[in-house]
Amino acid sequence: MISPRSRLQWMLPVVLLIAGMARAEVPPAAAPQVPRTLDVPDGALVAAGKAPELDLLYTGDVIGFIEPCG
Amino acid sequence: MLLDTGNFSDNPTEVGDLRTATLLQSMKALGYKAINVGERDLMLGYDDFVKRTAGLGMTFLSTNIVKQGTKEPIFPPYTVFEVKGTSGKPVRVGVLGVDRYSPVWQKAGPAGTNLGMASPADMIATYLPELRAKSDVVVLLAALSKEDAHDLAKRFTDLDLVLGSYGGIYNTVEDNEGRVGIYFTGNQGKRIGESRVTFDAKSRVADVTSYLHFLTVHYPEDKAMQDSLAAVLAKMPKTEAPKKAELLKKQAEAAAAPAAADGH
Repeated sequence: MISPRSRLQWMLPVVLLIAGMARAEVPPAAAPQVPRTLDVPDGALVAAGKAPELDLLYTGDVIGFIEPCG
Repeated sequence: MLLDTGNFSDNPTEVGDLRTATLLQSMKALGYKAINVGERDLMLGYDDFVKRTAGLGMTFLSTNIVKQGTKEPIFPPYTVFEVKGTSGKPVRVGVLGVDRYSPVWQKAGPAGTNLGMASPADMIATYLPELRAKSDVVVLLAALSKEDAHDLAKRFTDLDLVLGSYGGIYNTVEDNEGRVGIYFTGNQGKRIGESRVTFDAKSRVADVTSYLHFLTVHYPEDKAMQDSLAAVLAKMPKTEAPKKAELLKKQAEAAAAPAAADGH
């Protein structure tokens, strides 16, 4: 006959072992991805690098602005 | 290749019409290819729009402006441009254009009809499959909120890029929904978006790198364009012209200052 105290002494390490294994299997949290800024690097007017196959330039909501608007 | 998401029109006043006409002529001179028709551009209805844009040689399209009560587009619902890529190979660029959905929007259409605004999603669903089959890259010009742009990008994964404008909203960092890039450029022509696209051996989009250029005085002026604008501003009513001419002069001085300091 195993006393409650002896049972606890036997079970505690087993529970801790299982908990440790479960924790070890959890994949590490992925590092948060920082989105790339849209600023042209180094304050240049045009980004350096190899010319792309296609360069798209786009605007919108210009609402008649043809002069400096501040 | 230059594209515009629409709402290029100023208010329909004497000065506003002059500005809009000048802007359109400038866009033509710069080589804009396709322009989405925005709600503002139809402020005075279809006939006025056709009169203002006649002979410009740019494609004005709309996927979701329709004959009211139908799903019949009034303008070309999409367009495909074949341009020569840097390598010399042809690249087919498919362009759709949508405005925000409004069930109550209504303007005078051609021949006594009315224009209405259909749901962007419904209309994209209709035309995207055939456009995708004809294009190497598909771009959606979007005059709607960023939230709506995300919803469309999430649903239509065959799009490559959603290029938007909606008031002063603009991106500072890359944004996307899955593989679909979403870029907003703000308003008033202060910023211009740039997306550099490369393709794989099967002419599928391999990579897109985007930038947003804030057009400060550090970007050099085009002398011919500046002279042409100055001539238009001189024609404006006296209450407007001095103020604008003064702004142009200040901008020219500010642009010249760093160059002078550099000894150029």
